[in-house]
Amino acid sequence: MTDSKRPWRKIVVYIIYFILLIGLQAAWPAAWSQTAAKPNFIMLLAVLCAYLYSFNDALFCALVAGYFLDFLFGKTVGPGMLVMLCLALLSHYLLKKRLHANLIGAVLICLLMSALFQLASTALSYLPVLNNDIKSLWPGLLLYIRQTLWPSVRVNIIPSVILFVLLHFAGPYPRHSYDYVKLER
Amino acid sequence: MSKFKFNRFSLVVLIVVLILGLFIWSLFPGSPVDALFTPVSAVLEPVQQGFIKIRTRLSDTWTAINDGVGLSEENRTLQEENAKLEQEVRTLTAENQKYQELKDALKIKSAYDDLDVTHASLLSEGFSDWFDAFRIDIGSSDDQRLATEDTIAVVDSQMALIGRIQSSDLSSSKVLPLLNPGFVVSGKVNRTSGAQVRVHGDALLKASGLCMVDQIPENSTLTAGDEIITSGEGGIYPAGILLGKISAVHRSSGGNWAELEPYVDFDSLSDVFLLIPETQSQAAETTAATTD
Repeated sequence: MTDSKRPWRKIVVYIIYFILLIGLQAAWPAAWSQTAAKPNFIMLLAVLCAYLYSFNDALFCALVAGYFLDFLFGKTVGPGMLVMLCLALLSHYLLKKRLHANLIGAVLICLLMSALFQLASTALSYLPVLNNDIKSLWPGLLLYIRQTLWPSVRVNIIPSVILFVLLHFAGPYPRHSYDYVKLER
Repeated sequence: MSKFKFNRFSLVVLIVVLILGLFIWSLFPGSPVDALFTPVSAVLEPVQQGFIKIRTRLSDTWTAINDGVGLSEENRTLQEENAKLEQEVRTLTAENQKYQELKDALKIKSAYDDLDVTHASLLSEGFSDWFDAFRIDIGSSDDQRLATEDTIAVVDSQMALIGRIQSSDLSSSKVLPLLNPGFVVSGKVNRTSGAQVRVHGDALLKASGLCMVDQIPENSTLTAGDEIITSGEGGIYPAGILLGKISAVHRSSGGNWAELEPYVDFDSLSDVFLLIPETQSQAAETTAATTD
């Protein structure tokens, strides 16, 4: 694949991934999950692309993923985009000297970001009701976080592995240019 | 190098400011921000429909494999039941005709006379705390009344409240579910002179699939098992829509509150019904036609 053909490959691959994963996310029924949590395919795509590829890829994927999160499941435009932007930037910069762009590193970063996503989502839900009554809410909130955090993280383990393998073999960049992309980090 | 990093930082700050601006703009009533979703909605709808079809087919196949043995027996029972129901439908049709005549003669107005019941299918299900709204495949191009600011109730086939329409674009609408902390409805205990209460979503109870009931009158005898329906107070939701059953009552000096188990099974929703109020002009036209 020559350099001049890369942008088209990138655009087409991203469009395919986003359409497929958004469709899957939208149609994934709650009844298929063992726990109340559902896999977050859109977030996983943004996090993995931010972790593996360049800063521009991170920004692009975060904004598109956030936009679709808001479009499909959010109450207003904005919060999903901001959350995804934070997660993508964290994935791109956090632990980059400790983790390598391999399967284990990718899964670890996905699980960490799943936990942060759940915390951010809970915080967004609670913000409107956090007035003067924080002390009385706190114990219940902690219990709720304990109950929901691990299920929402573990439900993303298998999808993150599958998505990493897919991106590795059929990602937006050809495999032989993978190191080139990584160097740009 | 430092200049390069500064550029990246500026870009992120600029994007954050733009998103915040968009967010604040979207909070204003009648904001055109929702229109941003219209092209996306049009492109995504066929994809979502495709996935939903695949999902339904897979579920059907799975069900068929599981239930294959009992199906023929069940089919025979259902055919008998169907024959009885056919007979009942004929009887009820005749009785309904009589009722309509009586209603016209006595000028009786029923609770749902000024509402159109419109069917819609689910395009996406919510999946997390904040991201729990879901989309349905009906928009303002299908029904112009969805473009108005009026609250439109969404119910299931058993007339149990699912939520309300929060926003609509041309081809789809977003539904805020009953369990969402931002959802509030005035309810009453479904018995003669039943107490009026407030039913709303609660972030903590939501994980257990429950809603909170508060503003319970002190002298009320609300107990577990009591059925709660919409009161119709405030004119936002029609009276008599099923909400759910009280599962526990908590009494304290700070005020009584109860847990409500909604009748709607959010895990198996696929079809919903919108209770759309007729517009004033349509009502006027109907009145004029009746007078003529």
